[in-house]
Amino acid sequence: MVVLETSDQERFTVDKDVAERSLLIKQMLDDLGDSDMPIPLPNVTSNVLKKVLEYCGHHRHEPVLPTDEGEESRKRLTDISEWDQKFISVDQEMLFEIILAANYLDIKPLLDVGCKTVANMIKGKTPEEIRRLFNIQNDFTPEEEAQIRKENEWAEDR
Amino acid sequence: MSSPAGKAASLPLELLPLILDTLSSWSSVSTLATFCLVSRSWRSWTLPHLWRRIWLRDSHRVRLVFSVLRNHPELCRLVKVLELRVYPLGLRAEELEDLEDSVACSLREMSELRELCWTRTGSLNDRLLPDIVRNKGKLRHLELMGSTRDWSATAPMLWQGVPGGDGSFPFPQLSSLSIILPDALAMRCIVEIASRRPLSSLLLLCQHSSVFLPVHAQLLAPHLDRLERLVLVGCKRLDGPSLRTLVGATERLKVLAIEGCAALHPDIFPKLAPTLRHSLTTLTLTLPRPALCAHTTFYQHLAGLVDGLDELKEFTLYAPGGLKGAGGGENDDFDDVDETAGDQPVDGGNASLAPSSASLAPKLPLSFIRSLTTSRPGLTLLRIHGIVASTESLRLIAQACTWLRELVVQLESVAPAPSSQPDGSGSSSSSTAGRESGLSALLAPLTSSLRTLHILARAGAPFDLDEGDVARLAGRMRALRQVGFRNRVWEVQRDLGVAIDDDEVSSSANGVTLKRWDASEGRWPEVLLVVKA
Repeated sequence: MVVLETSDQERFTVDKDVAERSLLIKQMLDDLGDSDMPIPLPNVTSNVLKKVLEYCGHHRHEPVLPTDEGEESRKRLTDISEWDQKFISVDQEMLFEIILAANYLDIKPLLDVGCKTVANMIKGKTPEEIRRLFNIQNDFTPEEEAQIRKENEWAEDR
Repeated sequence: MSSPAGKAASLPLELLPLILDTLSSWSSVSTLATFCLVSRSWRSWTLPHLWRRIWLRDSHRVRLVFSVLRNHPELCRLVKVLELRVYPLGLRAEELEDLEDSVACSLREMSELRELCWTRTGSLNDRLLPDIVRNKGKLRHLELMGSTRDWSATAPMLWQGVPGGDGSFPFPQLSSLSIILPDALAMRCIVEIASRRPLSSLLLLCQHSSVFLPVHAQLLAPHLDRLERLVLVGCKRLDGPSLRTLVGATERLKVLAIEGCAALHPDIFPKLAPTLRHSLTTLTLTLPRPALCAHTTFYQHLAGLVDGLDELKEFTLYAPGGLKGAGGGENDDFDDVDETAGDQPVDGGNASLAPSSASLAPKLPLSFIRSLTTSRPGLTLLRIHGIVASTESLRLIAQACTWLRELVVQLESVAPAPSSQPDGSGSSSSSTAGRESGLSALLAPLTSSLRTLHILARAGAPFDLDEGDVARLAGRMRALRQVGFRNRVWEVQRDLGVAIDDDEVSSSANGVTLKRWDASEGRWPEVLLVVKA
């Protein structure tokens, strides 16, 4: 078993194979050797780690995909399993937290699921809709916006 | 994809590059252009993705792109891949001159360019070539139209660099060279470049031309010891000894494609096997003209090659010019009677509806398929174009090659699955649904492996599928991501709640949506690329 300690000092005791879905934790365990010391995860809160561990537990027996297969899968936005879809149906704040945690903990498949979910949310939206979706301020002047539209004219669908 | 529940939250800026990495691999440039308008930070993160690959197959876009790049050297430096397949040569002289200035200015600034493809005949000239050469220290792949008529004076710059430079080779990182329709001077360029920079990939696409001579093989061979990919198409003078010289120059050859080389007798094939035994993973060949070699003899020689390739993973064979091109009424020579006896069209009466050209179409001998697939479960790609595969061949392929990820076959008929005709009347055999179920049953062993499937069938052939059949087939083949029938290609999307556009077909029964291929995304289904030689 492995003990993980979150930024809000909560401890989680999990099976080693579950924890090692995170390449960061796997590396730390390799470096530490046999030790009962809790592994500190200062960038992850307990409520996020709980979700991440739920994902790792579900996928604990899956083989790590070879690089090319992983790359290919990464390119397909709709390649999200039913379980993963349900798992990632959380509010936007939690979704972003999960992606950040997956990036920090180096869990590529979870990072992909999160990024694909956000990508699918953005797909087909106008700039204004994207701004609304993510609370983004439009910091362009009308003149700048017109200039960018002109610059990008070549990229419009024809 | 349904949006996650709950209220909107601000997107942490550090997530943007991660998401853009995901997005840019599928997004059209129009989507990326939209992101540039969201905010300044979004624009700065998106610009490198938007300008990374400029893919030009539209003359209007050529003008727009270079009019922007001319005034923005910082954008030029973001371009890693430039593919120019068209050029608005019909412009008025002043406009053409202006465009040429813009192109030259832009090329000069593209110091980060990794890949350059410039294949529009008549668009490259002595005024532009120096800027193709200049400042391209990071170029790895160069693909040029090999008609040097308009750039013969500057051609030596391709290996000597621009005048006033240090005379060193201008592309120190070049590893891949492709020349389309080369003339004699372009052949010299190839030899000069190859002698200065060890190439890992060399492609020569000719149109039944005599420009490639045995002497070129002799000149090139000493410099090809790092060659991993060799593609020779339409080289009329390529003969067995020349091919053996080229193949023997390297022990690293992984990819070999010899297509439409009219003088190449297949008796050379078995002699290549010892050199290629431990390296070759991908082989592409064409059916020879019957005048050169009887197809039965061809398949015997071919079997002598593939039997000796321990690492073969991908195999493509096609009839240049399609079904008629390699016909010649040799079907009687194929295979022994016992093997084909059980391989007749089951569609019974429908077979008689086929035009007479069907009987002239070359057929794939079962004995060769057996030779190719036996002891080769690791085959991941098999493409057979313009050569008709029988039901039995398809069954053998599916049963023997369970790792197959891509399959392209030409069919005339397929037996319907037994379950599709419960009354035993065989009435469903003439329905497309019956054929779809028959095909699904045949391909069942590949259900979890096959990613791409393309079925070719000549117009008027008894084998036919409508779009609903293709959707049902995709539903049964759960790993399928791309599917095609004849000249139509769809991307397969599993039902994940994605909105369905007008040009998409959904089969609610199996949760599959077929999305028609979107050429504007800059990709092209390889199966539809045909070389006529």
